Amino acid sequence: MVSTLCLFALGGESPAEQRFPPPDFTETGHQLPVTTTPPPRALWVHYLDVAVLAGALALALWLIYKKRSRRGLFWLSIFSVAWFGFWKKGCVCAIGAPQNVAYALFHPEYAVPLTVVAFFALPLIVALFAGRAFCAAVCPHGALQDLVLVKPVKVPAWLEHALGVLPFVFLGFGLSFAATGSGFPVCRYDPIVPIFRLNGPSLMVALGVLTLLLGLWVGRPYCRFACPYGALLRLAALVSRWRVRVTPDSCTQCRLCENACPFGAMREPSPGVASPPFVRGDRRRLAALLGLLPVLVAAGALIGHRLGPAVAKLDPTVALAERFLQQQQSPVDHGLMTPEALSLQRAERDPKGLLQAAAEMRGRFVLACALFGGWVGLVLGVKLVSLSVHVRRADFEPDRGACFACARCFRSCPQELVRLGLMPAAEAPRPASEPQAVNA
Amino acid sequence: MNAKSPSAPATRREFLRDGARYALLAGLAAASASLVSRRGGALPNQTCINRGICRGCNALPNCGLPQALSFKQATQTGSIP
Repeated sequence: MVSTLCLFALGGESPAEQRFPPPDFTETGHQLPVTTTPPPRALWVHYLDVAVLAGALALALWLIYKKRSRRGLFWLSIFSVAWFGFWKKGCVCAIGAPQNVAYALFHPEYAVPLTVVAFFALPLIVALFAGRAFCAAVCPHGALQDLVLVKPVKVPAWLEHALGVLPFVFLGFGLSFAATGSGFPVCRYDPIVPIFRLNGPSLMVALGVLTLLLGLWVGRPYCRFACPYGALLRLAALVSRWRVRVTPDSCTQCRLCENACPFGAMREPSPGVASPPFVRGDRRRLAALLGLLPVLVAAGALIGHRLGPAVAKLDPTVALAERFLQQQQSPVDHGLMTPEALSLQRAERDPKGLLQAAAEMRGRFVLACALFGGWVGLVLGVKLVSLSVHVRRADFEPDRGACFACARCFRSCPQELVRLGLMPAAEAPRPASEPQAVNA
Repeated sequence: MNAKSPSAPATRREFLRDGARYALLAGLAAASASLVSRRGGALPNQTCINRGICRGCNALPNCGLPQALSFKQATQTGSIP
């Protein structure tokens, strides 16, 4: 229903933005109105944004670790969608901020606003100590998807593993292209921001609506299978000091929490100690995969380097230079003042500058593609290695990196219900180590 | 008495995790500090003060906003007189 409403709301504005070139009014003498730009926001508004982010993060931490309240997180999600989403139009956005940071680190002349640095760093600092509290209810993208989740279905483990690589690939894509100054693809291909802005390219609007429709059954599809900032938070959460625990004291291994998690983040206890032949086999496989890792990185970088010139043609400057050279070799009179003809006219004013800019941009793309290819090789290699490493777990517990700290699992735990006084202690299952009561 | 300090890491894995966490934190802090202390930071929070019109703007020399960078590049290459 929400998605349908969004579709209707967006329908009127989206096509209007893409009308180019403007109509020709030379015969009637009509003057096109001058495009106006909105006044800049006052400095205190930027500081207010940072303060609201810090406050929301602190509140999320309190709700997750102290209150253990799903209801509190639900209301915080609504606030985040309203404030960071629809009011702030999804900007400044922590998901796009890593690109600004990457661009600034490689371009000393570029200064990043303080708000962007804060939106990039604060959720990561929180994740280093307390996991993905930002994803829980502060990120408007995640909060919106969480709110539309009505009937969660389980994604098979093999598909979850395969698709779980995509955020890291998208992260590498965004950072390598931003760092080389080739573009900010994460912002360009963000499907949720057009929903917040009630405007955007038709393709991204359609993708956004589809993401929300899919999110009715698959929990947070963008967060789990696409979000590049989520990939960074996942890495940070792996080394976090504190993490979400389902049970306040002892786990009875009743598996209720496993069914309560719509994001496939619950991990079951590891089976006992493996026998020596299995351990030897696992070690040999791990050694082979570790040896394969640099090969995958080198192969990825080589493939990316080869694909670079072709990918560079997506850049408008390179594409214009190609068209310009083609026009020089076989001139075609376009006649009509199409956007292509107008751009070629502009190119003829300074062909040397255009070709130089195109060559520079092509070089950047080749470097970005090589970096990206190497990164993809690294991600695939590390994923293979991680699949062959066994983590010992005594109880059911959320995966440090995959858990969004949404607090859904808390109330599913009988021990938590006993703690809250919602269930008599005698009715709760006993820990696995203790004998269960038998009804006569 | 053989009590451990509550803050001491209990296992080798926790020790490595602590080390990685503080290394990442140090890297993040260093990168953030370097970005915030840039020369362009002299302009209040890099907010445009002239409605996106760069020509004749007093803040242009220190401005690092994308529009200003494009303007500087265009004036250097001569595509804008």
